[in-house]
Amino acid sequence: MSGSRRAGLRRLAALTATLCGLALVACTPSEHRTVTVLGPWIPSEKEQGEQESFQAIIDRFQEQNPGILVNYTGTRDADAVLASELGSGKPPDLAVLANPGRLEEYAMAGALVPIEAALDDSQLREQYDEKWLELMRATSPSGAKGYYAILVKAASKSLIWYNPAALPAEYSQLLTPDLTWPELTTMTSELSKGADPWCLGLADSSNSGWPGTDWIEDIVLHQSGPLVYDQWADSQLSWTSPQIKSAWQAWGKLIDVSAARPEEIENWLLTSYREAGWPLFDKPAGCFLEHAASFVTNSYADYESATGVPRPGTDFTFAPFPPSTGSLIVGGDLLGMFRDTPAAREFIAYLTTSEAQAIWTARPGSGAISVNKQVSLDNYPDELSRDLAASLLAASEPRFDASDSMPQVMASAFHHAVLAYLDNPAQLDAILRQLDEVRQPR
Amino acid sequence: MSLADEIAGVRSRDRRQPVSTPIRLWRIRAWLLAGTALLYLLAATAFFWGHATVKSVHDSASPALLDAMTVRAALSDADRAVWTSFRSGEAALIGPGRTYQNNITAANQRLEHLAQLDTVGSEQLQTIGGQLVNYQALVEQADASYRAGLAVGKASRQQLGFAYLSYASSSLHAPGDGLLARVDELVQANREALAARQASRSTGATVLLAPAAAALLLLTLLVLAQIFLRRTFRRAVNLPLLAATAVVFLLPIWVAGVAVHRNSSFDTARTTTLAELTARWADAAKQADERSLDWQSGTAVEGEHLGRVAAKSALEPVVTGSMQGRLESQMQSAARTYGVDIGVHVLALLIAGLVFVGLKPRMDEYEGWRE
Repeated sequence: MSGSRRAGLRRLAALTATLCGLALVACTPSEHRTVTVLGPWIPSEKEQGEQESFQAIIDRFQEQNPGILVNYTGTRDADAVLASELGSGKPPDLAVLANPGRLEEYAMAGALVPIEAALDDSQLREQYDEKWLELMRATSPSGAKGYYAILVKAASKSLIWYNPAALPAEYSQLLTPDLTWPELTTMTSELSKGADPWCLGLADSSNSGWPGTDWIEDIVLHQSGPLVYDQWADSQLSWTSPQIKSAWQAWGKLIDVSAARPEEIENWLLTSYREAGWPLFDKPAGCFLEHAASFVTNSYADYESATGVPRPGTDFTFAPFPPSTGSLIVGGDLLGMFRDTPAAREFIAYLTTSEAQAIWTARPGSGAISVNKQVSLDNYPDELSRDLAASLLAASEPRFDASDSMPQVMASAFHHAVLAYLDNPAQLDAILRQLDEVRQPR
Repeated sequence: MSLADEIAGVRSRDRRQPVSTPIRLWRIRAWLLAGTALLYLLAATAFFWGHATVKSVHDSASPALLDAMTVRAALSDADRAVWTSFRSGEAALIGPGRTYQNNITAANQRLEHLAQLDTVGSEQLQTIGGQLVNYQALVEQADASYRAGLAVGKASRQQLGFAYLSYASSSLHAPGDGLLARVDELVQANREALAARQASRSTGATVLLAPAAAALLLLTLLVLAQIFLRRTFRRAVNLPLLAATAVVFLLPIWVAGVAVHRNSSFDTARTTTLAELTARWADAAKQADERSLDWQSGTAVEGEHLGRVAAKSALEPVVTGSMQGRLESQMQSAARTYGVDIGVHVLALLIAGLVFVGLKPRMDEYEGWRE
């Protein structure tokens, strides 16, 4: 072979190698792996909302895992969007579920992927008490129980909020763990002579009505006890039973729904739950008391006034729902996995850690409570948040939100029933009968 | 060794062995065919690259943007239509009304079309689909509650129906995460995708410089080949090569002419019609949203006087009106090839054939020279 031909072959070989190298680079899959997450957390005007808090967790995770990109979509109609995406066969990798009822439905239908592979059971047991771990379990299509979700954050719901500066001192003094229901009704009656005693807003897009269901649930739990509450939440107890009917009547009497003017009722129906408590901080106060979960502090932080943002402990504080018996209602945000990918597993495992949960709880005004034992109370930003977390963790008889535990159809009917009751309280018997028609004892 | 060297008769590196005429002929043909191939590749690349850009804008990016805008308009119109139906009392007889149904159907059809186009924002489409189902469910609930209220009588008030209608509107208009905000994001994503394609260098005039240079090179080679043939074979002119020269002259002019026309139509469509349409649409959408808030204000009873207004202020015709027809016509004109898509191949083959035919008789004279 001549020298020039050898040189030509060498050039050809070099060119081929270069082209192969380029092709290899072009065909190598991207280093980035994406995790899609759908949830109900939306941004706030002051950028201190739930979406911003979750984004802070995502940012930390992405710093530690540069190859993974977490793409979060937040919408207040996340439940409907999730159902639609599942229907079209394109669910997100991870989604925040509306409630444990949904968790159970999706797990039994085989739509959710068990997350045992992503979690270390012994580590979980070190971090969470059994009562919280139980919330993360659901029934598989084969009937076996397993972990299907994680509890990202929790909230205490059996609370009454007030502005100590606006509420007359004689009533502030009553708002202690010793408060009784008759004292509360008397207080309400006396306060109604000045302004609206209760701040009430039931609007929340497709979930409108839930603040009213929280009222009924608290009255059932605190007046009839955990046993009745459990039977009712499990659809074993009729809606027309005396305990449940009296809870509706007690609520109606407390807010004096029968005497409410049409514009008052329209105001209750149309006011967003997020803005319902803002009149607490008006001068003079537009209302004095609000029944709301611990995450209400997040919406208080959005209140605008000349004196600035309401301060926890000074401008707002809370009392336990009467009578204080050690029972309280909790709510929580459960995150499930719909598509099993290594990146999704890594992210879901990270979310269970005390490091991730502490990011959320440490944010001022977030109202989030972690049930992870390794998240110290010192991590909370203020005394009020620490008290909220301590009371939730110390509760002897915590009960999950009943409407959230009911099947979706029952929960939706309950939401609607609250709105229908306010619209026409005289129809209570008919409303309860209709609820019983929807109820399917398990 | 270049063709000019061949023609000048410069010897190869081994100066003791002069290059023979048949080898020169082979080399000249190779140079001319290589030049033809180069011209073909550059002219075809320049034309089809630009054409592909225009075609993709015409076939997907532009329809996707219009679809997204129409979805936004149809949903906005649907919301006003359903409010009008409730405010005017028509809902007692016909529910949300035919206009509402038509608008929802139009929005759904456009969303399906968008999904088929498979452009940007597939995840947003999923979310929008879910939120739209939710919106419709709330309107249906409003209708059911409104009728239930009517059935019970005046004393019962009909505000529950209006409350549900407010929840529906709120889910539509909520800033940031509402249905319209999501569609706005989709419009923006499609607008950016369209702008990115329009900003592509493929439709710029500079792309045509490369085939022009290749044509100039090939013309030079053809002239030099004529000179060589005249010197060596004492022929006045080689007619096939002369014809090839004419075709080489014609090809880039044709391609450039069509490309310039295409780019001009494309620029007019994007800088004038589309810009005007999107600006007009954005303005109309803003005004429509403001009017929507007026219709929702006041109590259920107070708002009854607001009457039948939705049909007069429909937003969808702004998008689907005559301006869309003009845009479509300009985009179609830009996407027209005037035969270049086939002609560029045919003319390149013709040049190659003429080169082959022009040199073959001279090469045949040396048949068997190796022996």
